Amino acid sequence: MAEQTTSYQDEPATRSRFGMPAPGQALEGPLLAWILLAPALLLLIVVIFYPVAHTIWLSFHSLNLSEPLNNHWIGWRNYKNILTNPVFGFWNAVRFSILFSVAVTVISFVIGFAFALILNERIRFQTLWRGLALIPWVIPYVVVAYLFFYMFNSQYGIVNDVLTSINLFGWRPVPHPLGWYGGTGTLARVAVITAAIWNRFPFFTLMLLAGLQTLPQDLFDAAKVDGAGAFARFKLVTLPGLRGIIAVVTTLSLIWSLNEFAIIWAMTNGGPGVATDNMVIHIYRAAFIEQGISRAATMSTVWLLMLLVFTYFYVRIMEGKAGVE
Amino acid sequence: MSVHALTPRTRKRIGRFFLYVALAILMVYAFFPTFWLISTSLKPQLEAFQNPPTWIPHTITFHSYRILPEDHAGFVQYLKNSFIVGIATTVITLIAAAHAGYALSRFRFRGARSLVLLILATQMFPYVTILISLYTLFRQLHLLNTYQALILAFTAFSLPFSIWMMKGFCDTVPADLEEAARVDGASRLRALYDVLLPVIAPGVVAIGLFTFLTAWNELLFALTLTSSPNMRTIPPGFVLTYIGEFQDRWPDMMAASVVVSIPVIILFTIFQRQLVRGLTAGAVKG
Repeated sequence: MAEQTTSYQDEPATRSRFGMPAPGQALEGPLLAWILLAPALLLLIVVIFYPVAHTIWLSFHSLNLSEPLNNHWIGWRNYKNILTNPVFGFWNAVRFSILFSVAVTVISFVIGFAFALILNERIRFQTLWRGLALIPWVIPYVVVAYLFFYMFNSQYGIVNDVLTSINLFGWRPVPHPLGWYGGTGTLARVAVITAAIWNRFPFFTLMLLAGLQTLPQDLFDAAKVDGAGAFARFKLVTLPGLRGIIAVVTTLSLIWSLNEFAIIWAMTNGGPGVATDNMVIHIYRAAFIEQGISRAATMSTVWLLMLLVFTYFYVRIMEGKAGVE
Repeated sequence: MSVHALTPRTRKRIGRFFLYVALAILMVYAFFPTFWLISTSLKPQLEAFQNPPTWIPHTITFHSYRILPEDHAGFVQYLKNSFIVGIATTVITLIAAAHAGYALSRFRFRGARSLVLLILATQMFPYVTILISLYTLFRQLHLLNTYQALILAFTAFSLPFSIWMMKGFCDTVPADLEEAARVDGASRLRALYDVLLPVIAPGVVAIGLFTFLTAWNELLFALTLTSSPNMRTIPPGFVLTYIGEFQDRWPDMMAASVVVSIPVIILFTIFQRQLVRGLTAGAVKG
């Protein structure tokens, strides 16, 4: 943990140990710190911590909005149900959430990194390309969703048009238009992941480009003098220099993808069947469409616990990063 | 002939060539969907259903843009709501995060370390865990269908990341800088406002942009916490409009999409330099 070595540790002798100011002096010390923190903490307590606690409480009840009066303590029954009975689709949603997040993060990281490396070279119209590369990131999620929904349309979408027109010396990998939103749902998964990747890669480009610019140029020069080729320089100088930022941005991307709702909901509603049903959509549907509040609360709680394990690593990465400075 | 037999100059030229080829491929990938969005928005209704699709519209028409204000009931209202909620969320987040980040960076007090960890962990809470109970809470407080509900929710979601970033920015500035000002008789807050904030301004802009983008994009809570069309922001407005009566009116939908994308694109273009400078200075270090 990086404590500020420059923090004000020594309070002037005129102050009490609680930091109460002596008459005529400005507020100081821990009291002032808590006052400065108060608005943010108040908001976090009301909008995040209280609701989470209430959700956990609900998960031990039998609240269903179709019969709201039948709400009583039922212990672990909800947990047993969702964890053991496949009817509730919990594990399916867990699997797709992880698949979606890992696929989106890994692929958009590779694309975004490639972009960052190219845009970091001396090229013509650099600023223009950098600006254009950012656009997919700032286009609203729902717009991205509907745009890709249209592009992946089975009858008149541009994706099918391009795929079916591929003809390599008589070999046509996709002879017939694909039904993207039907069948087993594999193609629907590809479609939502493709849309999310296009929306995500500029974030990596932006952050990694910023990171690349902090790398000291003389390290590259030294490596060059030592005869290191482009690939060796990338492996020995670029990657180690960016390790901290790579850890941060990939973790952030994983978190955002695990929370993804807009792109999937607007494109497929979780379908066909439950093929693109991630945890957020699954819980949203359970709570607000099927009205099973307590069941949704139970799944939320288990999901929260699973993500907390992940958080443990996340916090350690962040702390490790702060410690380097 | 092996690559090594080439003169350094030729090798460099070949390298440049491949660099530009790679740039071209990536730019096509980055820009094609946006091109398709604009192209479709300029097509007449029927042309959007043509198979094979036309790349450049045969007939270019601005009809979809012209009918936007009156045709899509509520479209202007969604845009207005998104601006109100987005700006308010950004302002409140920046104020709260600046003070909290400053306190965590500059003060030592009991629990400070746990607090930083707690705030980082909050970042990981799945939003959907909060949704169910927040909906119930806001219903009891009669906050459903109000700007306040959306602003409170979006601010709380943006805060953990913003506080953490702000603390990082403050950490990069030596405390001597403020100390000099404080010796001159300025109070703590004066030092924050007059000395520290101007120095970390690019970082503040970066946090503001992230926050605005989050509020502008959010669908799950906007959909749940509002039910009246008057209160909807763009994302729920879009979902509910285009799943209903306007379904399959592609050019109209794409025209509306272009219009709602423009404000954020302008915003990011204006502040791009500060954004990169801010990220370079703070978040990326280490």
